Amino acid sequence: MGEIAQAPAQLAGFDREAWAALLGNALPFAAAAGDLLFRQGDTADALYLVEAGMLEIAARIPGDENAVISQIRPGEVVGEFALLDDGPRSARVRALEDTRGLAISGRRFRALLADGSAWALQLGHALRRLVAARTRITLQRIVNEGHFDAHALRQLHAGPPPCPIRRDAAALARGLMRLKGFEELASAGDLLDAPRGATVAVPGDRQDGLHLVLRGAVRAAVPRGAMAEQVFVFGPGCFVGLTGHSDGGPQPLMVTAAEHALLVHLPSRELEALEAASPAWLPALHAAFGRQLVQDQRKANRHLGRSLSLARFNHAGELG
Amino acid sequence: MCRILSYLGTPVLLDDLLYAPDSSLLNQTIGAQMLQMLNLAGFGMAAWDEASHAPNVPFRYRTTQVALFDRNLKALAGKLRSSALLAHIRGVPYNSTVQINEQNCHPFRFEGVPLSMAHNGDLAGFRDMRFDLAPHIRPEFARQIQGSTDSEWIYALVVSALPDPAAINEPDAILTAIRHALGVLREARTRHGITRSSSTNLMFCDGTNLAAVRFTFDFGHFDAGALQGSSEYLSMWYTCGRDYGLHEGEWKLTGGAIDADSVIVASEPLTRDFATWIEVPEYSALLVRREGDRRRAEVHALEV
Repeated sequence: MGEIAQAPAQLAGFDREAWAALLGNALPFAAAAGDLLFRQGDTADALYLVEAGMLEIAARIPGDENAVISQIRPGEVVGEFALLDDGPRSARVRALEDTRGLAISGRRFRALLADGSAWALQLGHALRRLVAARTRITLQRIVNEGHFDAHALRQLHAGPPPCPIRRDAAALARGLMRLKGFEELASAGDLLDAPRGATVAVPGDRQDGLHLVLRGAVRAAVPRGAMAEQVFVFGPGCFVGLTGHSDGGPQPLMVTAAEHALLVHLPSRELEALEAASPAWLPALHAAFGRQLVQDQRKANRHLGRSLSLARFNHAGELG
Repeated sequence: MCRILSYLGTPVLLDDLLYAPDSSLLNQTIGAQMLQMLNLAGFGMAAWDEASHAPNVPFRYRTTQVALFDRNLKALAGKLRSSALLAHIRGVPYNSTVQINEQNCHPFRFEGVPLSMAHNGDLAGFRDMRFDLAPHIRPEFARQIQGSTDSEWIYALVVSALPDPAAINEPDAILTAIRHALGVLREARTRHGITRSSSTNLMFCDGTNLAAVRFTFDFGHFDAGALQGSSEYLSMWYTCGRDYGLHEGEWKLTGGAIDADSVIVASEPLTRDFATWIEVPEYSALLVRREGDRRRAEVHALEV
C-alpha cells in the first residue's frame, strides 16, 4: 500500500507523530472507475483520503435530479461529516477513475477521541476547519450566484449592537439540550442583551471568538441592498460565528437578532484559555462544534439547492 | 405536537402518500423522525378528486382513533386517487386535561369555505387571549367553531380575513389573510404579555392552491429551567417533481424540476432518505399556485 507521508493541505496542522498514528489507524480502500463509494442517505461510517484516482461528489435535489458538487483529487478527503455527526450521507460519491486511498472509521475515531488520543484530537480540529472552509465556499456561491427568490427577501434591520446585561447565565443555560455536558461554557463569557434587529456581526468583520444563543434567535443573512436573504436562524444552544472561528476567516454573513435574544460573547482569549486549561467537558464542546458545523454546511447546501430547484421548477414548460 | 402532509399535483393513490413510504404520515404516528413525541390524538384529511361529484368539495374524514389501526381509512386510501390532499395526525401532551374529540381533529373547514387548514404547534396563553380574537372573526364563522383548540381559532381568523371566503382565492390573497391573522395574534400576545415561544406551522389547501407557513412567535423564549417551548424551530419540508410513486425502490417525485407539476409539503420528509427534500425556511411561507397543468412555487418571507 502506498502511503501518504504527510498530512495533505486540507488536513494541515498535524505533527509527524500524530500523522503516523493516524495512518496506523486507517484502512486501505479501492474503488474501480464507475463504482459508488457511498450513496446519499446511506449511514455514514468513514472518512476517505484519496491517494490516487478521482472521485465525483453529487447530490440529488427535488425532482430527483443530480447536481455535481465537486471532484476529489489525490491528497483530498471526502466523507468527513461521518466523523463529526451521526446523520446520513449528504451526497453521493462515485469513482470517475480507478481510485484508492485510506479510510478512517468513524467508530474508531470517536473511541480514540474519547481516550484523548493526540491524532484523533488533531484530526477533529482539522476536520472542523475543513467543514468550515467548505461552508464558506457554499456561502460564497450563495452570495455570488444570487438565485434568490425576490419574495423571500426581508427588510434588513441593522440596529445598534447588543449591550451587556446582568443575568444568571448558568441558570439560562440549564436544560438546553444542545449544551448538554458543557453548560459551564455559558459562564465563561459576557452576557449580552440583543433587542430584535440588533446587529451582532457584519460581513467582513474580524471575529473575536463566538456568540452563544441562550434565549431568542439570531438570523444570519446575505445583504441584498436594503433587503436580506436569510440563510440561517440560530436558536437557543446554537453558536454564532462558528465558520469564522473554525477557519480563521472573516465573518461571512450579516448577523442580526431575529427575536429579542440573550447571547453570551465568548472572546477568543477565553476560548484559547479554555483549550489550554482543557476542562473535562472540552471534548463535549468540540463534539458540539463539529455537529453544528456539519448542520450549518448541510443547511447552506440545502439553501443553494432550494434556490436552484425553485428556479428550475418555476421555469418548467417555458423552454421549448 | 402534530404532523401535517399536503399534496398538490397529478392524481395519486392516497395509500401511496399516507401509508407506503418508510416514514409516511401514518408511520409518523409512532415514529416521527424530527419529533420526539407520539401523535395518537386523532387523524383527519381533506382530499380532492377531480373525477368525483362536486370536485371542488373535498372528501373529508376525521377520527379520534389511532389511524394506524383504522381499517376503514386503509380501505379508502386504497381506492381514492386525489389531485390534492391535506392530512394531519394530532399529537398532544400526555395528560387528561386534553380534549380528544372529533371536533378538535384537523383539518378545519367551515361550511361553504373551500379553504381547509391544519396546524402544527401551539399558542401559549391561548385561553387568556382568545376573547381578544373574537372581534376579528366574522359572526358566521364564530358560530361554526366547535372545538376547543387554538388551531380552529387561527383558521377562523384567516378565513375571516379573506376577501371572499366562499371563493377559491388566489395564493396572494390567502397569504395576505395569513399575515393579517398572525398580526392579530401578535397584538393579542403583546396585550396579554405573552412572550413564550409559540409554533404556528400551518398548511392551507383548497384543492387548487396550497400555502404552507413555517412560523414561530418569539422563537427561543421560555422560562429558565422549564423548557415549555421547544428550543428547536419546528420543521417543515417540501419536494417537487412529477409522477409521484415507487421509482427504483424509492417513493419519490421524479422527472426533474424542469418538468415538475406536483409538490408535497410535510412537517418532515416521508422517507428516511430525504435527499430530494428541502426545508421551507424559518419565518417563511411556501405558496404553490396552479397555472393550467403546471404549478408555480414561491418562498415568501414572513415578518409579523
